[in-house]
Amino acid sequence: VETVTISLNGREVAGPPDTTILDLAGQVGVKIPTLCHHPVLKSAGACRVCLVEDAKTGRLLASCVTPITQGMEIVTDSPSVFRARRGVLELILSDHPSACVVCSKGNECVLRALAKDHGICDPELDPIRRWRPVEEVNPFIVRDLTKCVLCGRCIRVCKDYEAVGAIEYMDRGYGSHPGTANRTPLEGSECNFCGSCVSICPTDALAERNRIFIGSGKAYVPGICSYCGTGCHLEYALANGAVVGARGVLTSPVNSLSLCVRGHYGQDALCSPERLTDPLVRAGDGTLGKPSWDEALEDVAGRLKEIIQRYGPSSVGVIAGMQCSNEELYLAGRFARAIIGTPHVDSTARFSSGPVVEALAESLKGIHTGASLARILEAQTIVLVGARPDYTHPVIARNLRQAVRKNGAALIQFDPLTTMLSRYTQIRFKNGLDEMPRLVTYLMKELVAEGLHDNNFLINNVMDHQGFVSCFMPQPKDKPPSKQVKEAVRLIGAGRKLAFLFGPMVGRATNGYILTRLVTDLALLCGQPESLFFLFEGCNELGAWEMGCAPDRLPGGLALDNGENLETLKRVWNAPIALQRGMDAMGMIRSAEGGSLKALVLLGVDPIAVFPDTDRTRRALSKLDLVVRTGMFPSRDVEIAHFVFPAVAITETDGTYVSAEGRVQRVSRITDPPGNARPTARFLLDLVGRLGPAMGFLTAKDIFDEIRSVCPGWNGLTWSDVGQPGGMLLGSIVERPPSSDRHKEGSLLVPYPPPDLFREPPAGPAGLPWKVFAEERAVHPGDGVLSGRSFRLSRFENWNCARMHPEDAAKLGARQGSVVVLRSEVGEAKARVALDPEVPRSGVVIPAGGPGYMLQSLLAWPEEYCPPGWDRIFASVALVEE
Amino acid sequence: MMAQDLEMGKLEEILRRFEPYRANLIPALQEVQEEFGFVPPQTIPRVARYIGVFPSEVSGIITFYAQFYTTPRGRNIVRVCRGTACHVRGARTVLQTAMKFTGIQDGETSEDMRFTLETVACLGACALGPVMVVNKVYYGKLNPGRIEAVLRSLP
Repeated sequence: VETVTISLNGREVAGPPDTTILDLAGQVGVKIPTLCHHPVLKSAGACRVCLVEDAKTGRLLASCVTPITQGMEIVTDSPSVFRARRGVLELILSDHPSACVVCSKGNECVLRALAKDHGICDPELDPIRRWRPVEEVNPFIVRDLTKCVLCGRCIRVCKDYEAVGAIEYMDRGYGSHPGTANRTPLEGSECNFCGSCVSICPTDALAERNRIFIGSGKAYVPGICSYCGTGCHLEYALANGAVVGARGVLTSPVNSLSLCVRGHYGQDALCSPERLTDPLVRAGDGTLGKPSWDEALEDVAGRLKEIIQRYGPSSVGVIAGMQCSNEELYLAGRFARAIIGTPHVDSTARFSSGPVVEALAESLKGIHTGASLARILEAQTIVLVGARPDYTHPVIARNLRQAVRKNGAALIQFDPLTTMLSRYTQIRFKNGLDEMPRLVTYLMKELVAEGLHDNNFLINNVMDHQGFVSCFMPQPKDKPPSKQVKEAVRLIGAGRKLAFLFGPMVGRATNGYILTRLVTDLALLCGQPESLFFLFEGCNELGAWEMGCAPDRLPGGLALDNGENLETLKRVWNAPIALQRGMDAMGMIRSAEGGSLKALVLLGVDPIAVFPDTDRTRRALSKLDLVVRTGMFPSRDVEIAHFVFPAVAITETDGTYVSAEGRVQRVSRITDPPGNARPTARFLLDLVGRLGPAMGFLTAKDIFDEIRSVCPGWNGLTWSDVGQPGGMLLGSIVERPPSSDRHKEGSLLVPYPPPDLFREPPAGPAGLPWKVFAEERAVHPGDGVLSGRSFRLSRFENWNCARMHPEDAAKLGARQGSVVVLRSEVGEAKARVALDPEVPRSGVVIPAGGPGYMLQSLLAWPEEYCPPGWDRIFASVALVEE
Repeated sequence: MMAQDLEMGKLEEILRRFEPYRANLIPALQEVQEEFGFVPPQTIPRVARYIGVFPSEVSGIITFYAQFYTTPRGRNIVRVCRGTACHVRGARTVLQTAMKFTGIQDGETSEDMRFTLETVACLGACALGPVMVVNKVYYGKLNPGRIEAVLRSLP
């Protein structure tokens, strides 16, 4: 490679031709001050703080935008450079308020640090003041444009890095400022409140909004965000032992600088005053007592023993939440199957990925597809099936926008609702989830008809490849493909690099299993099984499957009939293992209602927030002899559990988590838990010690080491490596064959009934003419238990809103803001009408999460091992007289 | 012109005349302004999407250049020169007379949409000063009587 040599402060240094002076200086350790420059952004050369001198000509050059040329002689610290830089800074500071003492940016202010370094106190220039009002409209950002230095970092990060483009320089001259299109407020613009502009602003022009003045973080400590399955690596800002904020970490391969609205602004929930601090015991009359941990554990152990003795171990069930660490989920599985001896163990992952995991396991012989976030950026065509990453995984949505805007990838969206990503789509199918299997089948038929499938891949990887392809041969009675289908096939086939993103909506749809099988087949036809990316929603949802915290899986995510690993498991667990297929979470609640289940241990699960049909769930749970719950927060309304143990947040414990991408990342304890809260793992270990011989684990690392020894594919991980930014990818581990090899031996596919192409999806029940669409919201991921406690997040959106088409609303006689009541087969919920012409006719869109729990009251209980059926919620809507 | 009676079909017609490149943004906006008399805010997202830029970038361009307007303008655009030559020859009186006749301030549009009044730094016709330009027609060597006569004659 050709290199260019320059002299830098008298030293010979060399670099590739396109390097800027600033970058080269950085590489060799020469510090040049900067203001508008930022490592993740393209340089703009706007501020002139990084001036250096060309010794040959005496010219001053902005080093951030000047590439090196052969023989250049650059001086970075000559008197003329210093004088010029000082002059630039004085001009910038001349109309910047000298209010550093009360500025919340404090020690993080880049401008203040530069002023200090250059010895500027008062610029002694006559300022042209441009006082502007402080804007505090939304709960997230305070904007004080008086402090803005027009470096354009916020504009560039929004446009180039986040690919949102909500802000741009408005007006000119002294009036110029960052602003939105048509000067709408941020809430009405394309802004998704990712907060990258706040993170990157060098002054206090953009700052996080706080209830009280807390200043800037005193320390920044690395950790993982617990809000979703993206697994963003971030730095928690700590002040006085509490989490006051968060920022992205440039070295993270997952998110780098990026965070989303909840990752950036929702971490105040971790230190919410609502946190549980002491164990609670509920007396017969409903009053709550505060026993010590020992008393409560002793009591629980005694009652559990009694129940096991009287009704047998199978009368006990265990359900874990997706916020639990791998160590806790693994312990939960071992606790249930080997200590209690019950097969009834499940996690709340059942409700969002149950059918998907089942389908992937059958199609690909494993739940890992080998997909990665990097793959999305490389893709030429991205297909979104039942996925709304802009709401469920906003940082992954950034990768999509980047792929579309920077790399020119084509985005194909299957969604009846218009989402924030819709404006980036090339083709959009507005069909509902119920019509999707049919649509995907037509896509495959057209693919085969056009000969655009990857025959070589199929011959090498699929046993009966001819039989497989013939399943998708067009039949004479088929309808001719639509123009859209033809266009989509052109973008999917012909060797283009693909990424299929399918999301929790698929996992929650009644046809989630068949749809996953079909999408997998589509990916196989294209020869790219590694293009399948399921967006696991919970922060450790994939971990729950990997740890075998499921009635039909063992550690390593193996099926129960998979003998491969059983011997190791028996040796390590050293106890009889309940190996039959147990009841899933819904089955347990059903048998609580039926009376055969007597005790339920809930680890980090608030049943009222998670289970459908709130009233029926509450009645069913009240029939149990013993409900024990660990959790960070009190339950909604009335506490159902007999015992509640305060659990810790993700910043208060050691443990590992698996992101949707299959990235194993470790967190450490960086803050102290409130009061007497303890990790759920501690609770389980102490309980086990009181039920029989102790397990002998002292630290999370001990449990992790056992996980490595029993989970195939995990032994390549080390405790120190998973603690690095980005951790380790499960798919990248040598011991675990990549998915494309895994199905070489044996038949690739377990046969499944293909969808009936001519049967219309069944209509809803009579008298319930409205179709209810549940839409995940970015500020309230998952069950909303954590985000509901965030001061900022809980104040942002209207939680009981029902969006409908203006003409539908007019028929009801409803206006914007009218109160309506939605009645489904099982329950009702009140909501305020919001008009939205993008909503399909006879449809009503309600938020899926959030403190309102509207969706839970409308949903019926699904059958055991069935998804909750978000795609088939029907209701009547009536106007409430006010 | 209000949002509801804006003909979006006309917008599509204009956009079709341009290749969707960044460089065509300003010419396209000029055509839009020619058609509607100003750049209606509701056209911005569509123009942005067609050209392939963010709506905020279009807004940024519109607010940067003095030639673009985001509010409706009057039937007659009156521009009064305030250049040095006109100033010494009494441009202030010209502006005051125009303001008095139309009842609006510099930069405003009258409620009946008859006039939009603007000032400019120089019209390049110093020899004729004081000058004003009404709808691209120059009127030089003005006096209050002539100004009123010109303005009164406008529709």
